[in-house]
Amino acid sequence: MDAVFLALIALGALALLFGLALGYAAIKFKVDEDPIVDQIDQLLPQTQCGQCGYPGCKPYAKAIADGDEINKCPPGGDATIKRLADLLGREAKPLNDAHAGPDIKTVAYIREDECIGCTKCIQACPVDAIVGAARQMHTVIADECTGCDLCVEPCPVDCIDMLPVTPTVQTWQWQLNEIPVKQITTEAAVNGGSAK
Amino acid sequence: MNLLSSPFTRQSLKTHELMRMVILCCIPGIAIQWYFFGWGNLIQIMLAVSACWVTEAVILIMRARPVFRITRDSSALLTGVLLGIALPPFLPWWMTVIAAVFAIGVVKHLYGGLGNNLFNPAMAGYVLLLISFPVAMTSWQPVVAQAQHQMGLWDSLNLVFTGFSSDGYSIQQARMTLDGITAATPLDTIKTDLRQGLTLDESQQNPVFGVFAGAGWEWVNLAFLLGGLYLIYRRVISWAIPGGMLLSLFVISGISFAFQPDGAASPMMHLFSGATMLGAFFIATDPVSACTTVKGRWIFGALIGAMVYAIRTWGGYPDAVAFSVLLANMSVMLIDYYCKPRTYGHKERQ
Amino acid sequence: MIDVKQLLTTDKLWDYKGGVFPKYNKEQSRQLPIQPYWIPPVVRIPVRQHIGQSGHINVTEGERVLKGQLLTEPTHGMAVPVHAPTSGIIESISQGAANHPSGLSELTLTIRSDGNDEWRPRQPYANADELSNDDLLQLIRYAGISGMGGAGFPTEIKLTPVADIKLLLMNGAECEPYISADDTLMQAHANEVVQGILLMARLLDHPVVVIAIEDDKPEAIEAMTQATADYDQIRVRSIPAKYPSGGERQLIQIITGEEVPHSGIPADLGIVVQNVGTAHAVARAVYHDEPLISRVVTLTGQRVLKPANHWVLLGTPIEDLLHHHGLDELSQVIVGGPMMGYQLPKLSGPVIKTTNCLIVPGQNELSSPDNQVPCIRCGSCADACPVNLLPQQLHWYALAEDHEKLSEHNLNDCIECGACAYVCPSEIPLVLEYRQAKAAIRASKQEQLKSERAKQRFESRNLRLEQEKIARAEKHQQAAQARLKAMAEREQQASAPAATDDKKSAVAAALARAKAKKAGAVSAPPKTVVDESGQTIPDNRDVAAQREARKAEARARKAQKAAQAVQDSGATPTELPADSAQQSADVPAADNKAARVAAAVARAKAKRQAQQTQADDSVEQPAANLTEQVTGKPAADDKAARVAAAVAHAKAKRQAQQTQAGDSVEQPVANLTEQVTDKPAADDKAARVAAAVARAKAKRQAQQAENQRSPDATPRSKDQSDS
Repeated sequence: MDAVFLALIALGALALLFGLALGYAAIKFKVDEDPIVDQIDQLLPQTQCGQCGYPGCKPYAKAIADGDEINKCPPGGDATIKRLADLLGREAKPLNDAHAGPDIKTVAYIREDECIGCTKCIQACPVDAIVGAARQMHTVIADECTGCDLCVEPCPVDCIDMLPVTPTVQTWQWQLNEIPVKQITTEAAVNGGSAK
Repeated sequence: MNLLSSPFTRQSLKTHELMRMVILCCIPGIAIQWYFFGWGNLIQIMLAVSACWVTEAVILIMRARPVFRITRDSSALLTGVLLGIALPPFLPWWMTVIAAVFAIGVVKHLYGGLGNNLFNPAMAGYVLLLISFPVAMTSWQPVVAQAQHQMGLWDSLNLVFTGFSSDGYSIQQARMTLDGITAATPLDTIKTDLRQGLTLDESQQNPVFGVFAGAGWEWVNLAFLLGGLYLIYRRVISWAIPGGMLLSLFVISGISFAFQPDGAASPMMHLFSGATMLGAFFIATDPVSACTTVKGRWIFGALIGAMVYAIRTWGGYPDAVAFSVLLANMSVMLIDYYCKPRTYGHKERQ
Repeated sequence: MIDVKQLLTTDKLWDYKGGVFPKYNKEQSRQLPIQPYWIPPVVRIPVRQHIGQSGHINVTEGERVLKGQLLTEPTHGMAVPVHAPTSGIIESISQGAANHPSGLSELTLTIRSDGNDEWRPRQPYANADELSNDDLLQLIRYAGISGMGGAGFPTEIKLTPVADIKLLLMNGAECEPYISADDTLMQAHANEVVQGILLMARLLDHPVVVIAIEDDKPEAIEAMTQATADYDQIRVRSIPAKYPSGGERQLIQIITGEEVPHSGIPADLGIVVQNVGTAHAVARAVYHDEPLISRVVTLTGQRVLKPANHWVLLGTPIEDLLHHHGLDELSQVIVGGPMMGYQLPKLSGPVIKTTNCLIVPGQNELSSPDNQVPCIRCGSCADACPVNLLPQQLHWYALAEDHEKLSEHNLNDCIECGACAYVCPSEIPLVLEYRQAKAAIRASKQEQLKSERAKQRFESRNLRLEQEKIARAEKHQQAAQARLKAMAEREQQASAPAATDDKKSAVAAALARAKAKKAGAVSAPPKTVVDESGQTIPDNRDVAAQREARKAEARARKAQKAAQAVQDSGATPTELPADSAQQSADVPAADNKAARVAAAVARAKAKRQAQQTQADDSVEQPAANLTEQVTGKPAADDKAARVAAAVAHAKAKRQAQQTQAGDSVEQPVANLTEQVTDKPAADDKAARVAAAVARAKAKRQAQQAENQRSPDATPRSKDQSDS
């Protein structure tokens, strides 16, 4: 009986000790981590396009943190979904069809001689990438445009186009196999080669 | 016509040529093996090669890959050859086929085919058999000169395929030496003898020992050493892995031999017995499953050498190359990670 | 640090790890001296031929230019100008095929040469000592000189000392197979090269100069040694031929044994590396006032009948050049050497400042592509890599697009020399993979920056909106307080005998309230407005005051309701009137303001009506009326007309949205449009607006009609045909 008693005391004491140690460590060595919403927000592409159904990236980040699906962000695409899955330990899913859009980067362009200067697009732009004043022609700062196309719908005269971003010599990414090559008769090449 | 990317000129040595070169350099070893141990290994090589090749072709068809183009790389051929060399000469044919199918089907293709396998296919196949059929896998013949029954090509074929030679001898009988006892390999003999308390000198009175290592085995090993040196000369393999392996085996066995000359096998014994040279130059150097950094290769080789010594001395199996290689294969990622060379311009600044 | 003095005497050379020994194939093009240049009928000058930005074009189409004339003005730091290589007429300034592996186009000046090759007036300096260092740098800059070895870095920037430069390393290694441009240049123009070197050395405050030449060019070494015999500070070193010894960082390692820190530049070590061709160009610019308009190009390959080095005018279309040398039906042309060059997708691209070699290979001369087999990790590539990378690992990570691992394995230190792919037995296009991975990493970094910026902008915008909202709320509150105060005062008055200004204050309060409601965001606090005193005060003035106040209150409530309706219809339109009012605040005219207010009211009303009306003709009239009201205002100018158009438009849009597709839509809008266009004051701006409106409307109708016909058509799909 004594032995049982002793064992209980010993175990209890140990439990208390370790409990205290753990509690102390939890407070002392607490890791100051970004709140999860900020971490999620970091991964989202910040186009503020609202295609996820939320008014911006941050609200969507909040929604994800509260348990919403991670596959509602078309501009981020699969890469973002994968990163979110990694961060949250959830399963990566394919992009939700309801939120899927064309996978081409675009930038808004205002056909300036048709613009009536109504400022509606300016108000719609989530990143203030359109400049102009009332009754003055508006224009898009292409570098700041996220391609969210939120300005297209409000335009009363439909003068905003979403133009695909074309690669330039500087931004080209070495897609050699995508270059259309003019086919020149191979016989000529063969003859030329054998004529050496 | 596709646009090409630079460079537009290339060195001539191709992957399939590398593979063939390795196979060619096995030939001296195979010839010596034939001379000392008869036809058995040639039959095993043929069997293993055919089984490997058929498996490869079948799996490539299943994976809808261009069979002809890929089999041209001869990697399956090489796996078969190495497996055939390593297997005991009179191993029943179906065991060989199991090993070959396992090596190509599971170890190579389930991991993604050439270039993606984590383990050396030939050794994985070998170890599968070693674990499943330990007796058959350690049943080596005495050298031809010491055998009681001489086995010709026809006898060997019968033994492999039916279990009995044309004269009705079983595999057990084929292993009889002139003295009428079942032969053991030199490494096996030493291990058994030393454990029974015999000294090394006493053990080496046994006729399985030759001039400086096991009878016959020493020459086989020497032949593989020559083939391997040629491979290094042709820059087909890097000398780091065999160097590391042989050096570590030599040093470790040398130290232990120096401390107890009577109780441990000599470094020569270790270097020229069993599959040491075959392992060092032809198996551990399989680039796919070996380390790929220079420093890493030395460590990789040294690791194999140390494990070979440990298993031979203290383990349950007489030889250890296969196990050591597989174990080292597992640590490749880790070794390579810590052996990244210092890139140009990344000097520690003073 | 390097002991530079020792470099002048030591025989020691360092070696770098790796490297390969390809077949050099330089003999073919070394047989003949450098051939004189040929004037093509048309030259195409891309405005940007170097690393950095292009200058500002200062010629116009149709203008005649003389040889050597400045075509672009270098307006900012990294800009380098381009010049007319021969005299002629500027035919066009447009996008033209670039001499670039992508085959994309870039801004190009096309000059049709007149064949006279007439120089602009030149003022060569016989003695460069006349020039100050700054003048010399400006001269180099305006001569359009950028590195001629490969990358094309602006030479002037490299020669502007940022650190104490102790060694000027002249790169004459030319380690790439096939190319012999620098080799023949050094042989033929050794003295000019040395003149250029001296000028460069002067700008760098006379460092030690080492000219490094690979030992497979004995004639060039001989020529340079002779030309530099008189100079103590210049030494010619013969280095062993090995690829890629001509790489800037490799050459530094060979000559000094030092490594350039991975994130640094050679100047960090006190070293500047220049190509010998660049030195020649500098000498020509100073002593002959000849800007960079031509260069030596090696024309070689098995299909070239007479491989040789040629002086080629920059801008000469490659196709034309090859035709001129008897090459037709071209299939494959490689620009640069076989190790680092690229295949030209569009042969119409021109020769530019960095084009040192054109190879037209025979059928089996250079390797064919499709023999790739899987990597077996043989490690040959790691042995060949001159910067000690692990190409076999990079290959895996590049395939997996694992950018983190790639950076960890120092992909960015890859110099794309091609040694790894050259030795690869599996014929994997490693360099291409690395280039793609590098570009992808760069792009994703840029994306990251952009998204960071977008986030900031989004957040600051939200902040601004929030503040505006608060400001508005405050104003509402102020107005409410004013009302309360007025009411309290009124009660006081009701109890006490009325004073003269009773009524006045009540009216003022009411007006203030109404105004606050109506203006919303207009910042002026409620003021006393009208003075109605001086009238005889009747006995029932109390009651009248109360009635007045009630009326005002009712008006205010009505206005509030209207505002509420607008708010309900969406957040965006609420802000619209306020914003537009603010933004056009610079328009002082009072009637303008009135028009605006009218417009805002009209809009609000239209919205409310549109919301309430269930698509019938009743929409038509009030809207039209409203518009009439607006447009009818005598003071309304064309701005007002535009507003009207916007109103009409908004209305039309809403109607269209709500109406279940009937003819009823068409009519009111048409009316509106007519009204707008009818306006006598309407100028062509108004007409344009009307046109735009009409277009939009037509589009919407078409869309709606479409939707009706096929109910399953998605509403998002837009009619692409623009009317």
